[in-house]
Amino acid sequence: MSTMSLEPVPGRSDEMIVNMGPQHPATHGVLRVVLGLEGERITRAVPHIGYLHRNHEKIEEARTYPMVIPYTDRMDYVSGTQNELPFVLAVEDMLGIEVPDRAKKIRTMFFELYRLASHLVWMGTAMLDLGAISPFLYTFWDREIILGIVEKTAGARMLPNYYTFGGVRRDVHPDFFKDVADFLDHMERRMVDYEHLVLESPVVHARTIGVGVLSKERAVARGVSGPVLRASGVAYDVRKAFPYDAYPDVEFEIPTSPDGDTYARFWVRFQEMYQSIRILRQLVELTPKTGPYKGKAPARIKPPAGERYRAVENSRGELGVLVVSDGTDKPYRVKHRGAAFSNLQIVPDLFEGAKFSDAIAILASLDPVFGEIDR
Amino acid sequence: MSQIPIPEDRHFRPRLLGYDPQKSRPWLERTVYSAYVFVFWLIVIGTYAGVPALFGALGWDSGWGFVLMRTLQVVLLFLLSAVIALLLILLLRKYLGKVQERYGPMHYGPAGGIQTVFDALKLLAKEDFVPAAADVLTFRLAPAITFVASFAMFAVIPFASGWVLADTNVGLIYLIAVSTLSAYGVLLGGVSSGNKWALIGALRAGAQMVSYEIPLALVFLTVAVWSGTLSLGGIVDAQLGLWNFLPLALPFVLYVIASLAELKHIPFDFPEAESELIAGYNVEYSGMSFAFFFLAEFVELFLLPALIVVFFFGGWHGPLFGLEPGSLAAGALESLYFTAKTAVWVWIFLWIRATLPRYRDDQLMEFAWKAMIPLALFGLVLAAYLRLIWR
Amino acid sequence: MSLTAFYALAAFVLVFAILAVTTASMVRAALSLAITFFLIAGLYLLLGSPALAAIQFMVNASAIPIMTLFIIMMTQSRTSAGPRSWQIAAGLLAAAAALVFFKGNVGHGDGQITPVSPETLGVNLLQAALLPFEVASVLLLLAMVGAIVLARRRAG
Repeated sequence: MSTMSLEPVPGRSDEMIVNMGPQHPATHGVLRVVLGLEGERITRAVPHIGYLHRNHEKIEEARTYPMVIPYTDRMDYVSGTQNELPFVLAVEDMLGIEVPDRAKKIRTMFFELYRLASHLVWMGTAMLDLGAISPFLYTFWDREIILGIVEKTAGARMLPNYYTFGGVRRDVHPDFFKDVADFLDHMERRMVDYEHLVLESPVVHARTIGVGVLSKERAVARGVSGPVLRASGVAYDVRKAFPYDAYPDVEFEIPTSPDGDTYARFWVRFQEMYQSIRILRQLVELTPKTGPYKGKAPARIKPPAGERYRAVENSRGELGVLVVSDGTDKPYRVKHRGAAFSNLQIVPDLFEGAKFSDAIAILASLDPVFGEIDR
Repeated sequence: MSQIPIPEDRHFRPRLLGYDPQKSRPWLERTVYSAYVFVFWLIVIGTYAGVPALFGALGWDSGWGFVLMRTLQVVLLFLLSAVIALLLILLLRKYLGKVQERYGPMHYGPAGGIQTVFDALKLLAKEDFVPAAADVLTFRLAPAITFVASFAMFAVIPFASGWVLADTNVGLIYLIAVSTLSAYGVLLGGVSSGNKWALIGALRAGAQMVSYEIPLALVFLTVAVWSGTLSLGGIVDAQLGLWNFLPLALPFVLYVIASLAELKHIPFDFPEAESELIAGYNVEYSGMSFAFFFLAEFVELFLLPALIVVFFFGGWHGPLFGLEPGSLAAGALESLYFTAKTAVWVWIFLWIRATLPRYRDDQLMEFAWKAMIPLALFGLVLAAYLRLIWR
Repeated sequence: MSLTAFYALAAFVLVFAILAVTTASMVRAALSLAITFFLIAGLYLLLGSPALAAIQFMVNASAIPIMTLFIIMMTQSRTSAGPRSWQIAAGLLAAAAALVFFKGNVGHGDGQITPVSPETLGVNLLQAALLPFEVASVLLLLAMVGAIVLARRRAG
């Protein structure tokens, strides 16, 4: 059976088979969805991915372990260091490297900063898809501040290559904690505005409430994770289920919503932003201002033969890495489990029966990033 | 915003063009806008007072001389619509920039003032191709029809007392007719493009415009019933003591919403949803044909607020400070009042455009048919009843 | 001068009317019909009734062509065969009959045009021609209801 296109079904003469993407402003990247449209209603949807496939996993088999880290950065490119962490954790487990407490907290701070950055991008682009052109610029300004903070420490904005085995590559900039504290004050004021513009807007309510309802059973059956899963009522968060880094030391909640519609996904991401701000505030207090930023790690990273899977809670869901080592200094296989890749599997289910503009809203709420999906 | 940690200068990138983007010069921008408005005002005075005075002095008032005079006025109005488009496109980009915490165009001209001229030149220089699957004649004709429909509204708009091209006693019906015609141009454009997406966009656009024309026409009728006349000059005259937006509050609100839908403006810009259908019905157009669609939209962005002012805000009424009514000076002052009020309403439309997301297609239609039409009918009946008992 | 205008308008009415029935493309036929009605509105204007001209413009030259375009788009019918020979013959016969019928009336007018104001039109519609007016509105209502019923039957 050819899945490259939809064949017309006899008896459905009204159905128009239309190609959406891969160049389309609303598909959040290079997604091609072949739609069967009956007037305004979608009857069938087949997504095609792979337009951003860059062969990461094969390339990583020919790179030494420290060289793999910049490649992982480029998967979910709006989340920066979040992508580095599962790989770093897996190798640290295999080698038994101890990470000092301060390094763990610094890593977690960057992790949550990038969660905020990713959710800001999501909010701007989701509102852009829904038609509001201004929130995009406000959220990107806030993201500029985050990227500036990261750049002062790590040297690069979006793809910083900052984590390493045992901790982080260099110590944080002296202004780091003050910058983050000021940014959090600013962000708390901005969240009030964002809530007015997004969550309380009657147009957003009309476009998202009741649209694209994902039931709990289907979400679990499809392997969905992250805010999409939590918006369908399942309280699964890798940070609580399999804690890593400094998460056992901070207090935070997992927002869930029983509704499962697009508005619930919007709401859950908002609440996650609030929780991130809360975690960052605690960490600004808790992190020792002086101390080691990197544990002892061997000069040559050669994990013993074996395999290890570690997962973290990305902005999109459960991002996992399976590292298979054969004892040399290059990994035998690195398999990335992309959160957005699994989340994309519900697209045919959710699109069926929806109207075309609902499809846009649904894609916006799923927040796919194609670097992670196609790798 | 001064408390946030702006990263050090070398971390904060854009340094284009040799000027410091941190320093905007609002006084320069305001001068540029005032210059445009001044040119606009001069053209209005020239069209409505200068040309008739000239032709009257030459004695070419009737017969073919009259035809020539009207032709010249129409040409001047075309120039006016070009100035309007130049200003409004610039204003849109600058105002959107202000709302979005950025500068808008800054490069060409003082504070970006000549940007639109370069946009127009770019559109002129683009290849104006016709897609292979398109019906060439209708494809070429559609933007012209849309533009003419918008432009034809100028004929009945009173800029000042007596400053109207055609103060017919059926001005309102004429307005309804030409706004329907602009929907026709949109549909024709989509049908003749030979492109599935353009067709979908044209269907949506046409359905939306036609649905919102009914409350629009009903509000026109309400205003006509209240003012007792179908001519726009008469409607303005009837607002001498009381501007219409107070007694006709409900029709006024409905008219603003219906105008937004006619303009295909956010929150009703579904037919032009840039993030969904690329550009909807005008996706296959480029070059000057596209420019005409664009021009039509921006001319209407001026005209529909002008109509709001004419119907509900007393048109050109304003204190004359002792000037003799009917004289050139009074006419100039009144047209300035008209322009100022229209500018306020254009600003409100742009503000709405910058802020709101868009409604979905069927929500739009539901709103028009199930909410606006009954309300408009109710408003009409109420206005008729009030007129009976008050006047 | 109005005579020149009349001859010009009449000539173009003929041209576009013939185009409307002979073109193969449906879209162009609908467009030509719209232009024909628009020019007839011009004729009404010459006859001194701007109200009727505006209404003719609004209904026949704007709204009806939009309806025809919707129908063309939704039924995806783009071309029609041109008129067949018997249709052309019937048309010419009808034109000849009309000429004969109206010949008695040509050239008997007194050349005076009494302008009809919208008030007069409205008053006449609601007083002298009340019954046909109401019948027409009921007819339109019937047509609308019928269209909704048909559409619902097709969709459901």
